[in-house]
Formats: sequence, structure tokens, C-alpha cells
Amino acid sequence: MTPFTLVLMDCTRKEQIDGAHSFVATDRSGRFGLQAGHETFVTCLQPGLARYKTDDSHWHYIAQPGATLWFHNNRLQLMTTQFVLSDSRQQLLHLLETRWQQESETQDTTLRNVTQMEQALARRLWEMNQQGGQL
Amino acid sequence: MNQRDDFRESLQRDNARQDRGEQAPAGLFGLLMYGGTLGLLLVIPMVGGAYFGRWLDSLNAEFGTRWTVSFIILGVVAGIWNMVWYIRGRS
Repeated sequence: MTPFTLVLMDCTRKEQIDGAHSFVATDRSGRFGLQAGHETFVTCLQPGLARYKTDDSHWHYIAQPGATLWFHNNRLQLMTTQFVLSDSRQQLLHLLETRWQQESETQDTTLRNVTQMEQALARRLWEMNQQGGQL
Repeated sequence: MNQRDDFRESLQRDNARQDRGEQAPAGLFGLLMYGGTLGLLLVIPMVGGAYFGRWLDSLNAEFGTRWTVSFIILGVVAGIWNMVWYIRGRS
């Protein structure tokens, strides 16, 4: 079976999978499948699960919160805000929760740093003001 | 409900749907399709082999069945290989 290339993109990363044989996902019209040699195709995927099969004949799963799909010249591109890949669909939710937790922690740390910087800047401005406004 | 909750819910829904699909027994139509496909995969090379062998035998002045039998056996082997390939591809 002729393979095609699957490219997954979100805000921070890009994954390229060569040798995909079959792709199954859901859009507003329902579930559909794509194989190599399909004519140019554009659609918007519904949030949830998509899957693809590679040379090893196993399904690999993609969790995505809605994506734009573009198939052209045996190259399938999925553009989304975030995605998680796994060979086991039971693990996807766990991976997603872990990622969200990490993102929240990063966000908290960034927010704390910004607050500290603001406080330091305000203190420095106050000190400068006390010293007569000299830099 | 925020975007993460929507995403989580749709993922759980799709997972549950696939679980149900995997657990549900194949319907009568599904079984007929599956059985029919397997039957055709076995029979077509066998019948094709028989016709081809018969044609080869008919080219000989002394009419025999050597090629017919040989190609029927070859067709059976090819048919079984086809079936195994199909079943492995589906599982």
C-alpha cells in the first residue's frame, strides 16, 4: 500500500510521520478515512480522537481539540492548538491531563516571576524617586 | 464549560464509542460481508488456476489434466495466502 506523510502542527511543535497508510477522523459530516492518492481535501475536524495506521499495521491515536486538515500531494497536514500522540487511546487522557498540569505550573511560575519583576521595578522606581530622580 | 472540559469530554466520548465498537459483535450483514470476502479470496485464484491449467492442457495434443491439477493446487495455496493476508490486515 502506498504511504503518505502526516504532519501535525500546534503552537509549539511539529511532528512529521512518514509512512502513514490510513487516517481516520471525524468532521461535521461524520467519520471518514483517507489513504494515499486521495484528491486534495480540506476539512475541519471535530474535537476528539483521530487515528492513523503506519507500516507496522498498528493504529496510533491523536487527541486534538479541533483541527484543520489539509491533504495535498500525498501530504496530510493537521493544524491545531494542541495535540497528543499515543499508541494507546486509554493513555491519551492521562497524557493530556499531565500536559495541562505542566502548562498550569509553567503559567504560575511565569506569573510569579512577572509579579516579582513588577515589584522590584516599582521598588527601584520608588528608590530613584527618593534619591531625586537620578538614574 | 471551558475549552479543556469540552476537549476532555469529546475524548472520553470517542473512547467510549470505540470501546463499544470493539466489543459489539458483528451484525449479520457484517458477517456476510466478511465471510463473502474470505470466500471470494479463496475461490477466485482457485477457479482462475483451474481455467488457466485447463487451457494449458488443451494446448497439448495428448489431452491430460496435469496442468489443471497443478494450477488448482497453486490456486488453493494462493487463496489461503490471500485469506491469511486479509485476516492479518483486519486484526
